[in-house]
Amino acid sequence: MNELFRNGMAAAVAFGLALTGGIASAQEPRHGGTLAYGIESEIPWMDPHVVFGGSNKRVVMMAFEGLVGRDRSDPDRTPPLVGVLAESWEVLEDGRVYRFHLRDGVLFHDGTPFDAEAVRFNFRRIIDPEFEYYYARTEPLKAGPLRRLTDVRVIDEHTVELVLDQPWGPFLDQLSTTLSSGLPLMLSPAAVREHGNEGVNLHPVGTGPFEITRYGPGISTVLERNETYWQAPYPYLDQVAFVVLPEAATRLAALEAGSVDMITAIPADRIASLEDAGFQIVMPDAMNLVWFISLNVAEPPLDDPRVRRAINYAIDRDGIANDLLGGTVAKIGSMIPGTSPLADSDLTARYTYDPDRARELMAEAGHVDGFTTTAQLPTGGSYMLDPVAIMQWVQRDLAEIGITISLETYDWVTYLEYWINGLAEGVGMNVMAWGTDYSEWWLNDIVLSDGFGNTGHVEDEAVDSLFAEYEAAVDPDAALEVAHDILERVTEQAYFVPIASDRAAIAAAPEVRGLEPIPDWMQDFKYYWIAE
Amino acid sequence: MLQITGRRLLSVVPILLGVSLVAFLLMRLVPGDFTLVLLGPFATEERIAELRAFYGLDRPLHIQYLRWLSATVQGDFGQSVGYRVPVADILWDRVVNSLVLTTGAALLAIGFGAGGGLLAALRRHGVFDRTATLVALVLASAPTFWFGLLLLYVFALELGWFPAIGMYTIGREGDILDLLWHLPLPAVSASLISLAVIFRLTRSALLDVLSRDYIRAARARGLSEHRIIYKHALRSVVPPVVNISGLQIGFIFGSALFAEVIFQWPGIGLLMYNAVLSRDVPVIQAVLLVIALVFVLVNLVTDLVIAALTPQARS
Repeated sequence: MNELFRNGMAAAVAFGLALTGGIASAQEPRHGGTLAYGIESEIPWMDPHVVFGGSNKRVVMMAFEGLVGRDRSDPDRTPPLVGVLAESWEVLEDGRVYRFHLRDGVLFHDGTPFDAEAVRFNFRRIIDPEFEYYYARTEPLKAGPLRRLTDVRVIDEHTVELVLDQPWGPFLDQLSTTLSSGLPLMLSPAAVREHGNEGVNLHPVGTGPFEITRYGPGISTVLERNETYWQAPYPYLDQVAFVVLPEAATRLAALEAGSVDMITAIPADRIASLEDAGFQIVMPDAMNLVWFISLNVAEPPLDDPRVRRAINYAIDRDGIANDLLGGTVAKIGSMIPGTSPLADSDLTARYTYDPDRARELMAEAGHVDGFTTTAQLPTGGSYMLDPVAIMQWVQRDLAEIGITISLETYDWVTYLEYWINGLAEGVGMNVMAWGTDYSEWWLNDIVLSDGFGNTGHVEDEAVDSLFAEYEAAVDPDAALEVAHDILERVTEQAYFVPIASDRAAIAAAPEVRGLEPIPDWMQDFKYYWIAE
Repeated sequence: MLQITGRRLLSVVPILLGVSLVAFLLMRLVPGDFTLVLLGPFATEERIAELRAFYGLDRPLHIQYLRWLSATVQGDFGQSVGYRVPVADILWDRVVNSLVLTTGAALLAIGFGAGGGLLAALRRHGVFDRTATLVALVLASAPTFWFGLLLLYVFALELGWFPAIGMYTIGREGDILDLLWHLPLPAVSASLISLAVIFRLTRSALLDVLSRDYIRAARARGLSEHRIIYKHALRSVVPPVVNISGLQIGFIFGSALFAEVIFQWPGIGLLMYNAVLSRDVPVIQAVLLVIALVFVLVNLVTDLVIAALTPQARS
């Protein structure tokens, strides 16, 4: 232990120096300690292939790893795609085959080796109905990120090939996804064999920096340091305890009283007072998501692009971001999240706040006297910020150009049912917060004619065919160009009213170190340490 | 005595059946399908149908009820939708935690309520009587969750004397000293209303007794005040105080459920609260039944204690 510790420290110092370019920090990272984290919802899912819910994934991502991932240690715009359990890879046969060279010497928490057979086992569990351990509940993962995966070939102990039915550009990005229902991460085959497909949820065994050791339903989930983690000197913490605190007021009180060391999902009006009280607050400038309104384009008056543009011009996004939500969100002018390479393009500034222009467009479309419609919204929900306050602001702005909207609010679960069924006749708008896994592919679900989240009934052949082109583009630069064309079309047609993106503030006690703003909620606890 | 016990126990059955029916129907009538919660927004139609079949949601209502009831009677409350474990696995630990809190709160309420009430009555119109009566009036009108937040703010956040949340410090689970450090704030907030009620009742019960003719007669016979109070007055005060205390234990149990949510005390109140938020129907039903069971049992015990104390109640 001592030896390991010293080696770890030496490596930590070396790594720290490398990171900071030789500038010594006040204190070197040290090992040990427990970090108590107040998490905003339950953590019932530990099987990575079926996990859903952003906060639950935050826990699972610490115990499990995929072949590739995103390096979130760099708070710059787009976290780069890096090898995790795969050291490198080649794209073969024009993008139909991905060959991965696996990291040597990686062990699962149960001591079994991670190798090519384990990779094959994991993917077959998801995609192969013939497989003994095929698990039907992983369907969303199969239908989503792994939709093109047809075969997994073991080349040798440390080489594996993933075979697609056709070239598919978003594949690597989707292997690093944190947004799908179920994540393509590696679970110990021995654990699945021992506990079965259902049982393994309570006996999670991965390769990650921490091991899930205790699950207290509704109370806390405790993760302990993986002593044999392949990426020394991480992790620094001995233990991370995720304390379930769904109530924002309680979560804040727990932080202030020192019962927990770190929280997220902080009410906008409390950030300043936390900072005054000496807590650290970190917020990224850009997040990988968009809070947007979908418009019912299937029926008048919102079938008219001029009306939709008018709405986009009529809303004071700066006011919402800064006055209403106190700068805890970033305004978003197009369906492009701030983390996208396209975020600087001309599209994001297309619809600036211009009520006069909006009124002109309304007049052009023949709505001098305006019209009345209904908007459906939840009272809260994942990433939804304060939907009621935002929509009341929108309601007021739209009243300025003659559009009267009545707001129908629902609790989140009921709302989702409405949302999934699409906007009904006579209902003009609904709202959603959604994001990207650092490619533009996410848009397909909300904008393709058959996209399941296409609640506004968009049917646009131009978009559909551009998307086919996008998916076939294996070269990232070529794909990005097509993505720009898609977004150009979507923006020009104003199918949506993008509003803002959360900035996901993290608040932590002063002694917590290694904090960086994270653009997608997937906090990486292996970087955190506690100062003496 | 045996007869009373038997009769009371029998009457428990229809009450629990009634509660079970209400619990069952209530959860079938609310909007929002919990299979959607279970599967998430990205579930396919087939998976939802499959799961509805698994939970028997595709059967007629009375069949669903009977299936559920027969499993429940055998202690099988089904699988928690939210926690992914059998409800029975989490339920009983939580019940014990709630009872710990309820016991703490009940001791406070009965001890300080009855004790204070007696003191106030004995020194009628004294400083203690006046202050305590006023405070009791305020406390009896203060909602638990409001008072709980106040306690949390003052004693956990400002003064830092007590922890803000939970039953144990992380890593010290099962440590009785740690438990006793976590207990006061939630227990006090759960006890306050009942404490005030018991105080007022005890005070007026003793005052009432002290003004009775037989006490006056005892005084006229020259018995010492000490003897009058301890031998005669207190004995008549006991049954109404036990009665109200018994009723209040049920109420304290209810208040504890609120306190649990504020202080994140891992009992069935918190369990219920989170289950309602996440549409965890099997958990909600199990908790409703357990709450009804606790109420009925507490009332039963109270009745029996009163019967044992007062001969005329036995017949």
